[in-house]
Amino acid sequence: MNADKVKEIIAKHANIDIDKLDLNSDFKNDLHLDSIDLFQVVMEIEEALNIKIDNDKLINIKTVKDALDSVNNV
Amino acid sequence: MIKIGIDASGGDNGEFEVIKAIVEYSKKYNDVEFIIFGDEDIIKDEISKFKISNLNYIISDAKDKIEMNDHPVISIRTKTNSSIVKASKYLCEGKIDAFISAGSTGALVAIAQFILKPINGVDRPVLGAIVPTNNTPMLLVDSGCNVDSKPEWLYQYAILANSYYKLMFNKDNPSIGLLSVGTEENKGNNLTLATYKLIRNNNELNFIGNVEARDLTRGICDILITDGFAGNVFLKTYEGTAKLIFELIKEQIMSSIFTKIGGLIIKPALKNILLKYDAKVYGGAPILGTNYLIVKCHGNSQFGEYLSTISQVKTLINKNFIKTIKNSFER
Repeated sequence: MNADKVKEIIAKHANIDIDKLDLNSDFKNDLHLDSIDLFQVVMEIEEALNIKIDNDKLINIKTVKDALDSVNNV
Repeated sequence: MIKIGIDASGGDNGEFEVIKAIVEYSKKYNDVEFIIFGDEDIIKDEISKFKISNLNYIISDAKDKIEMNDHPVISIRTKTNSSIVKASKYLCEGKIDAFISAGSTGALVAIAQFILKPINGVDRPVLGAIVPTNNTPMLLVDSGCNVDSKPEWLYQYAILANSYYKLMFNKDNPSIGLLSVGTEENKGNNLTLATYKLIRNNNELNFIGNVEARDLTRGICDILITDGFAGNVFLKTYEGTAKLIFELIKEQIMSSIFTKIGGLIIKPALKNILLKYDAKVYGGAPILGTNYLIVKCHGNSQFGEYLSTISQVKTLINKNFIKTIKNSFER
């Protein structure tokens, strides 16, 4: 459930279809999202799931999988 | 009465310079209430050094300090008792009309993006820095906020800069140039080629086309639009070259007794040049495109720059700056 929401938010920001989102997609190189976009994504995920992602994990998010892992580790 | 929030602890020169600016301002005017953010004990101590009775201020104690090497977003998430984060809450709650800070640019931009939020129609708030030229002051946007930019953002910068320049410098139709590697329409990279078309198609903007870096010092445009990467490289090259020229002149003047005498003769002329190219008189750099007024001062600001910035902010508030900017995106 959480994974779907995370993917939905990322896909929305990357402006692509959720089905085309690859777990190994890199935010910068594949999805063309910069650091500001990434933090926007994280804040939206936090708000939607009512969680707080650890700051140390946050700065190491590079791929979609990293984002999912950081949510699962909360 | 206007309420201006000011960051006492953000600059390299400490609280004293900020307090001195507030004191100097208050000697002449009594139309501003200052909300001073920072370490309360230090601020009280600094204020006690001045013999002034009519200082209209409140201190908002903020003991966390965002350092220049702190990660901007992480710092605004963790240092919630810092002057920058506290002031952003005051802005959102309407407790202050504007905020002045010489603190971390990254943190201020992060605040603008994530807490104060961009206005409708703007993707990325951006810093507008004034660069003195041999003609009119030139507003450089972007001076280094967004190093990887999109054509739409640069187009938005042009609209934001146009509104700001008109308001700040009372000029109806400021000229806008796009930094490129040639003046012809087809010169540039993918970013400038796409941006060119977007700006050109807006008839409300006085777009003069592509401009080259070598012509900017003569003041060929009022507003220079570029991405944060090229803008920052341009700005620092300009500053570095100007500094080098003055160092070389000084070196030559000091080289013999005859050149020293010559130096004394031309000293007033050199001082005039320095005054003409002193960007401090224009105040700080506003963050354009956010819902509240924030102005960034240089990290090494002294009281003179803070004083200019207080006047600048007062002008912007009186001229309803935020509403004007928002209106420019509703048309």
